[in-house]
Amino acid sequence: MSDQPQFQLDGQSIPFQPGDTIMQAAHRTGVYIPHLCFHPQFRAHGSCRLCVVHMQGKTVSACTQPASADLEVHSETTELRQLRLRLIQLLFAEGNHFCPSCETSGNCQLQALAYDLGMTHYHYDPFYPTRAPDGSHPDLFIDRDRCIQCDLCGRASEQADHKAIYLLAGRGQHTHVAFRSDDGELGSTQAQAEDRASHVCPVGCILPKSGNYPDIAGARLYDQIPIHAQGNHRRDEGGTHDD
Amino acid sequence: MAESPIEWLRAKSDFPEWDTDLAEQTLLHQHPAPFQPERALQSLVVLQQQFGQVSPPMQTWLASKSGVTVADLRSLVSFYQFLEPTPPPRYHLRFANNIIEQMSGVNDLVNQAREALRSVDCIVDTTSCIGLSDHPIAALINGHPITRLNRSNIDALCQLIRAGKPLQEWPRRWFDVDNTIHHPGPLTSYPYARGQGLALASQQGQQWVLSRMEESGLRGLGGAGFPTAVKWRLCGQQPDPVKYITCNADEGEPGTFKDRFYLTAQTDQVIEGMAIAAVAVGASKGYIYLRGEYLYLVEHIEAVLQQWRARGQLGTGFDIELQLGAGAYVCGEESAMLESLAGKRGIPTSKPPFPGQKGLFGKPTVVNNVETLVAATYILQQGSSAFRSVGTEHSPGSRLHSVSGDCRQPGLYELPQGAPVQDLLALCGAEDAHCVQSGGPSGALLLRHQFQTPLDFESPGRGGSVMVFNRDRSLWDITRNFTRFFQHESCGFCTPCRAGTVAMNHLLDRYGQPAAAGLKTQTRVDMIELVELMQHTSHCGLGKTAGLPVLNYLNQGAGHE
Repeated sequence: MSDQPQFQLDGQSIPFQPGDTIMQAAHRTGVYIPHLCFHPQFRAHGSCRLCVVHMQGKTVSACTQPASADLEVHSETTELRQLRLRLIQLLFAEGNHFCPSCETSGNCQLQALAYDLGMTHYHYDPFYPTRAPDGSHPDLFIDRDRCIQCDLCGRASEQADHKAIYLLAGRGQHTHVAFRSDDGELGSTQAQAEDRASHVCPVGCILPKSGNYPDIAGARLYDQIPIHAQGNHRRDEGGTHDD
Repeated sequence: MAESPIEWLRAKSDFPEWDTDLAEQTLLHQHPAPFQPERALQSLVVLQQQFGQVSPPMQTWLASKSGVTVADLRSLVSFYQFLEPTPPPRYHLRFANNIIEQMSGVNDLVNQAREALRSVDCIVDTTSCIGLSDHPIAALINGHPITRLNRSNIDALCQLIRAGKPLQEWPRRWFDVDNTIHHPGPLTSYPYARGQGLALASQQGQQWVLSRMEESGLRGLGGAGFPTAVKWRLCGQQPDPVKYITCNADEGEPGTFKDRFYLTAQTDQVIEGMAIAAVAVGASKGYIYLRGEYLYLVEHIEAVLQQWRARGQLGTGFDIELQLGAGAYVCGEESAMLESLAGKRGIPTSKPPFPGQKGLFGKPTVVNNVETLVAATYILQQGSSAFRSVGTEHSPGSRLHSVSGDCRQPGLYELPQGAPVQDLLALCGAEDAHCVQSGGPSGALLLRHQFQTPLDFESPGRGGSVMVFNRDRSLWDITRNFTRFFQHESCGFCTPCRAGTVAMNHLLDRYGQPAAAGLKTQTRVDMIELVELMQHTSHCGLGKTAGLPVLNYLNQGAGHE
């Protein structure tokens, strides 16, 4: 352990293995860097940008930046917390997120991080997008209004389920999650409720059609313990928690 | 059914019915193995030109031939603006809506054309800069450029459309593109001896070429100014035996059109530059990534490539393939370009690894701008000291500036690096210039008192694209044009750019509304904060710089609304 190379994260030594990113090493050590699109079991995406950290005078995403010995990395600074707050607010403003009625409320990583970063309002004018939902699957419902374009479903479907059902399409603000079927509907794919991809969504975009609202407020995942203390989980991710 | 290999390139308004035999024939004419999965985007581009659309049945057919799923093809069609899944109108008129065209009255022209073409089988809309800002107002009709449109000749054009006149019968001069160099310099006027630099490179070998490039101090002329020798060396050092040379001809920076010139008038030098780079790094395959807006250059470039092959200078050991983009500015970002070359959506990838380590198809790849390759050819033939004899210590050599806007002679001017903006303005006849946007929308806004700023990599006024504005122009309109452009061209991958470019437009619109002073001040603060957020957290250069026009406006534009 002692000859393992290390870098400094907010003054704490973080050992890392060759090929690690800053995020992978921090995650293994149990140090939380806010994130949404990162998942330790899947390849990095680097799109949500919430894991931005400072190193060598640059701002980089911890989930894509390779770790190297003697780096001095800063994460929990006032400046970075403010950047992350604004990113979360942008994510809220660009979708249609109605926490009080959302099936994922209390179990949602976007919502949990918003609380964690002290979000009290949108700050940006809401975009009120009109994005087509998909209810074609017998067990799953897709509400694209809540999608944050993180591609976790795409990566889980490819890397864990070996089905490669989900993908991103469109450009710019019209980017949207799509499905690999001839008619483009989820119901025409091999997707199943038990798939890893069906349970990896960090927000309320991929939803089961039944069994929603199982817990009363107060007993939900992030009601008692904030996300920075317990990490990114999905209530129903089936024992394959993020750490 | 038989047709010439380049039939699909012709400007046409009568599109053939969808026919799988014709489709296969067209694709096979264009490439021996068109159904490799990584060719999917190219096949869509060719089919789009041939049939005027890439409809769902066409996508299904291509999916069955290539093994790429229909959903993946749909995702390409939804990303690239020039791919249309719907049946084509007989005429699709796309006006460039860069600020230069806006100043020349493109909005009125669009309205005039729409009014005149009601209930006619024609779509009139707009697109980002098409590399013809020196011929405003320019438009693409069914993918081919029409230049110098104005209030009077638009009537004649609309009449031809109303009469259903085939494009082949339209006046040829409408399609004229002038590539005059108004002020030549070393790169555009030396006695070029074709193949001489390459022969020398082949004789002397890899290390010798790299040393010459190092001595020259050449820096990438696509905008970033990264030392070319460092790029080549990094790629050459990689153990992987398969390496690629790519030429970035996705000239999308609004106001730029130098590559249009080089690819038309100095095509040999571009090709030779690629072949020299191939010697320097040990590559056997090269790609030219040409923006879809430059479709009309394909025939010429292919012909020149063919001449090189016929002489045995290409095709044995190193060959070059030409691929087309399809209306996506972000593909000018090197890693997005490599994704697009591999047949995917043009989403920039994370760096590191850099293209020199892991680029096209995961192999070490050199990405050079068109002009950089021309300069490499110059350096090998004329010597690195000749190259260094002009320019500055840190920005040696010269470069072409694309000048557009309020001046007597818009067009191309080659100047040594470090020449002040005012020299360029004097040459192009811009005595009344009030300000200059240098280096494209994300570059510097220079006011009159800053016209002594040098055009080089060390100063804010990098040049390349130089848009000139006189006192009558509204900096507000200019800024809004640029922020709308970035919103339209964001790839949508990362939060700060995808959502930030939209939020920026909301804020800017709010700033333009009459409001209490307090609200105005707050909006200003919010905009500056958003510029910084995008700068610090975006995934690629597009997002990092997409907010800069607003900062320029707030810093420089006050009182010039």
